[in-house]
Amino acid sequence: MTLSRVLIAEDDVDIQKVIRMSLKMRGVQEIVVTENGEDCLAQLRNFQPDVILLDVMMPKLNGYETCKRLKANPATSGIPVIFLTAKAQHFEVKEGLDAGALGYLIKPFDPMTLHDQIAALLQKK
Amino acid sequence: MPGPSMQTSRLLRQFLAVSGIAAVAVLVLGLVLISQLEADNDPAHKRTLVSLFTGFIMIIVLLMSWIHARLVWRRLQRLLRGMEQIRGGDYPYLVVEGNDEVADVVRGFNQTVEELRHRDEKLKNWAGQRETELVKLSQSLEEEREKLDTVLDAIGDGVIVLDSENKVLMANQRVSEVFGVPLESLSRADLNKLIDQVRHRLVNPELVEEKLRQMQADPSRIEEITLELDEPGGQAIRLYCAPVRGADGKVLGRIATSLDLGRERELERLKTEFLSTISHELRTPLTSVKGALGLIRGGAVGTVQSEMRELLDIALTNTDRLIRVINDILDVFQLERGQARMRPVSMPVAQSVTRAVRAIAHQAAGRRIKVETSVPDALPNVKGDPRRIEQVLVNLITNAIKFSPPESSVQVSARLGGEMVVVSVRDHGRGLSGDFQERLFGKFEHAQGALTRENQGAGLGLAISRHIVSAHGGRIWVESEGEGQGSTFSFSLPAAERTGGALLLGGRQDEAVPAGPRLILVIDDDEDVARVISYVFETMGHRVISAHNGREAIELARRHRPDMMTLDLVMPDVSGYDVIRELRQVGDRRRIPIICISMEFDPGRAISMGADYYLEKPVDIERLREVAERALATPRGGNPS
Repeated sequence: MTLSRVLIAEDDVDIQKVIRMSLKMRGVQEIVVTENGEDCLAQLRNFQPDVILLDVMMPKLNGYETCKRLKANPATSGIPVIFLTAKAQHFEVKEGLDAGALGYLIKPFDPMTLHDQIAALLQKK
Repeated sequence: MPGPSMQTSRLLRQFLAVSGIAAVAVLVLGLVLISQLEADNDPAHKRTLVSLFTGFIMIIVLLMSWIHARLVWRRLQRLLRGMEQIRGGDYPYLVVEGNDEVADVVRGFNQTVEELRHRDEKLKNWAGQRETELVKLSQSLEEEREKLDTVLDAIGDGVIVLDSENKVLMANQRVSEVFGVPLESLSRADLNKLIDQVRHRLVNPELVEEKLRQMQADPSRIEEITLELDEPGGQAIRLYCAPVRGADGKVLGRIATSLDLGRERELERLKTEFLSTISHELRTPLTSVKGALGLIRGGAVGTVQSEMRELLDIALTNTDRLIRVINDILDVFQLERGQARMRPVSMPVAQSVTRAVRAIAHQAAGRRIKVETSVPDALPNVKGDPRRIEQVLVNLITNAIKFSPPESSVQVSARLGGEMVVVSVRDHGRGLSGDFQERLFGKFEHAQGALTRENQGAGLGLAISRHIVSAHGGRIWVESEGEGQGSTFSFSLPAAERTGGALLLGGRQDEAVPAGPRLILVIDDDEDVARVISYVFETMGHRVISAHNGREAIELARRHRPDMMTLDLVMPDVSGYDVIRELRQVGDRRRIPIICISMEFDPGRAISMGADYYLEKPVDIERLREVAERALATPRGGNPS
């Protein structure tokens, strides 16, 4: 599947850059970065991404809650959500998937294969 | 004292004596009367005299009888009063009057009273002594009881002693708080009724009732009952009920200790929170470091010169090492808490050995250590989670390499031991002292001291391995002749059931393995991926046909009966799992080896359904070649080794 529009919610500026470069390298055309869950939800009013990459620990609205709100809203419930987070414990992964995410990728990730991992998860959908 | 029948009664004689005096008096008066009557001629006067005389006699007789009876009655009255006094608790002494039978009775009475008094005094003395002893005993018992109560109350956890009918014999203050019943009311209370009182607060009433039933059905059973209370903070109490036996081994009752899981859970929560936070805080900067280095190394900002690549590789290797430590810490704590999932399937040990040896090949080469493997073909499969078993092997072989001198070798072998398959990793390193062997499988243990050790690592690998092996129903151990003698680490895993030899590895020759080019079916919905995989097989000299969806794959597999196939698990409509299910139907004697190439989270599922190998995307070309060679070398109808 071709990945061309990605919305990222990530509060760490350095990680934002890494994700952005990693995806751009593989031909993703539009990448919108937000710094917290609230901004991510707001951004969806004028941006329709192929996938949303969500961090968990973010100011204002955390990733789990953001994902639940996305899935509760009929306008956004169809957008695939993938967590990209440093929260790696078993129960944390479960919480993310229970919130309605399509997949759960754990940081640190390999920037050279991030695109493939996202694409594989989207295929699963 | 003579009895009344032995001689004439003294009382009778007394009476006769009184009567005799009266008779003499009557006789004298009678003689006087006769003389008067002889002298008197008046008949009327005579009659008067006779009448008076007769009356007088009667009066005398009556008087005498009354006096005698009165005397006897008075003495008997005193005896009766004496008896009354005895009943009232006195010991009277009666004056002995006369020497008749009544006097004898009075004497006997006095003697009996004296004996009684004496006996009573002895009894009182004895009772007094016993009472003193009893008071002392009672005081001592009370002191002991107070001590016991103090000790019981000082125990933070509840303690209940129950009789054979589950009635409370003894309990401490904590138990009273747990059940919300005053301590005094607990005595003789029924445990079932106590639990009934908190039933409405229980999250798990059915489970608790079932446990109580089991405990009553088998009094010798040691039972653990967890009372989960549905309230803010989710208080939970665990009752450990163990039987109390008499000298003859008979169950007399039970002793139950209640442990408040609240504190335990709070500690657990803090530990989890700490791990979560520390893991997150370490992973976040490492993500930037690994990401930035990885992008530069991957050419995202331009061509990388060889020296720069070398330096970037050093940085990336060490970043990965740090990440492994964090992963190991999380892993060991999750394994300890039973949170790590195991997905055991029937799997060949040889496969895990090969993969593990490949994973550490670079490390072994760096230390110039040769890793030799010896896994018999006829070894049965084991029940294991392939990734976890490989993790154990990587840990053991990595340790063996670390502690082996350069230019030496490490042997990895497997054998069948009863119902278990035993895998061993032998090194020729410095060996282990006896005391260290004992604690080797604990967390953060190192062969050398923390400040003197030569080798890296957090000391978690063996602890993780122990948990993984235990979770599979196996055992891990180490043997070493001592320092300087090398060591052998072994672990056992339950052998998978053999079904008509179907799980036996390569050795069975159902049919000869043909030589020369073979036909391979490549299935992947991504045409680019399918093309790359096909190219790999074509360079190996094989013919390739490809399918881009599950339906097409099944059709081609049935029509061409290829010698091997690679399969993507995630495809639209008919998934890779459906393809495996379809091709692995009962009676499929010409079994096509299947190599799954996917990014599925759950490789165990595919293996359990009948796939032979699992390779993760992006696939390593060398690894794909090796697995393909192995799969093609396996006779059709047998399983891959």
